[in-house]
Amino acid sequence: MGKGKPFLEIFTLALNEDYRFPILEIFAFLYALGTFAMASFGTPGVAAAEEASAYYLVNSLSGLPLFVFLILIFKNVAYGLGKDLEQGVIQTLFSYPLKRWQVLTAKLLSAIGVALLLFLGIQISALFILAPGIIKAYFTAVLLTYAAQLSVLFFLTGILLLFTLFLKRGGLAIVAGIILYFALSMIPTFVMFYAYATGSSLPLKILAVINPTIVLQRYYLGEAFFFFPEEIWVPSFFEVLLYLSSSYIVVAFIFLIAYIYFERRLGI
Amino acid sequence: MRWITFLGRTGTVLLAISLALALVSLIPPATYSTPIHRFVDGGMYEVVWSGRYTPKLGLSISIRSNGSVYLYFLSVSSFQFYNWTMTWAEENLQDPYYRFNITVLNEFLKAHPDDVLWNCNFSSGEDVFYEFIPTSVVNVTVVIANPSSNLVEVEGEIREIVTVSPRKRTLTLTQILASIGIVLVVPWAISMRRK
Repeated sequence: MGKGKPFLEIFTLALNEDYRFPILEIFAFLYALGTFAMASFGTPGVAAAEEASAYYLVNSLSGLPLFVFLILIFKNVAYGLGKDLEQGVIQTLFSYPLKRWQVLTAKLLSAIGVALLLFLGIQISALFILAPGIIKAYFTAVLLTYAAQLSVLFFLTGILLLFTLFLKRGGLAIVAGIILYFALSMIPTFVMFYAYATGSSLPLKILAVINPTIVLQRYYLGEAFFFFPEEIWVPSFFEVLLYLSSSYIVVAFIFLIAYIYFERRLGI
Repeated sequence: MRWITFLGRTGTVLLAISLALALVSLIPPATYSTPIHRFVDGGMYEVVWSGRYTPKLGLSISIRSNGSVYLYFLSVSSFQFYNWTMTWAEENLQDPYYRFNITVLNEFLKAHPDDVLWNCNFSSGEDVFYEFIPTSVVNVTVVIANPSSNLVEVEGEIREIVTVSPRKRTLTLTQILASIGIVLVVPWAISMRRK
């Protein structure tokens, strides 16, 4: 028997567990409703008005659905995987002729991959319905905005996965994940004030490594977004790409640690 | 059996999305209307409206006149339009006072043919209605030009239309998704019933 079949078997089991009827349908409904209801074209800065419209639209469009996406992932990773670890179901999965990392991949593919596919599918369709002109003209801005927003989400998911694996308890991991989410939502404001108070852009740049939406916001919204006339950091396009890439490197590193831990130190 | 389940669940997801879209498209658009009443001198033009429009904020015009006039929807801001016409009038007519002359508008149209979103010529007593919902963010300037030598009275109203989503496109997608969803769900529902 090849490795494909047991992998698919575990993937199917995970799908059944993560998306019992009507969980997926409820989330799809919320994604779609949130996407259309929240879409806004705003009034971005004059300097980069055209491209900023695309950034502004994607930001507004994905605001609520991203939160819904996060809830779904938290449920799947912390509750789903956590429960498997807590109740020993994972041992049954280890009896399949697969390496441990393949088992984790099948679980994550179900937990994150399907939710991501649904999220992006609805978002891109909505963009084409709402503003085909903007998407065609500013595809790069749209792509970068999604990449930046998802990077923060993947970062949170990676940390949550680590918590789940370390604690081996879904409930505790969810609580830790929620605390981390709120902390990450508040930190940028504090860091920004600190940066302006000290006149140094370094804290912002450090934060942008894990949260590239900061650099993208400053790049696209320009003067309209700045608090003070003397700006401390106006990133270039190269910097946008640099911070975005580094954020994904951080995410990849976190997932790598999770994989190594799952493979060698899980203690099961 | 697995394929039937997979397709069935895909169908229920599509139905859920179409339900959300139907809900969104059922929300009626809000409209704000402004009356227009102008007298346009012979051989002159007037800017009657300008603004920034998006796929969620459209514009419609309903207008009539007692003479033959041209109506233009231009994709420029009033500021850009003002600047261009002012400069042209200064350079070519030696007096910015003449910037409302129809010659200036014709020169603008010649220089910026791509900026004409829509135009029409209507005569006395004829009612004209036009609705414009852009597919991206655009500045719109509405201009009425009187090519004749007589004074013309123009009246009507301009409505700004605020929608949650472009109704026509959303409804079309709702119908497509719901149809595919139902087709995919039926075999799954039957097999579930048999179980």
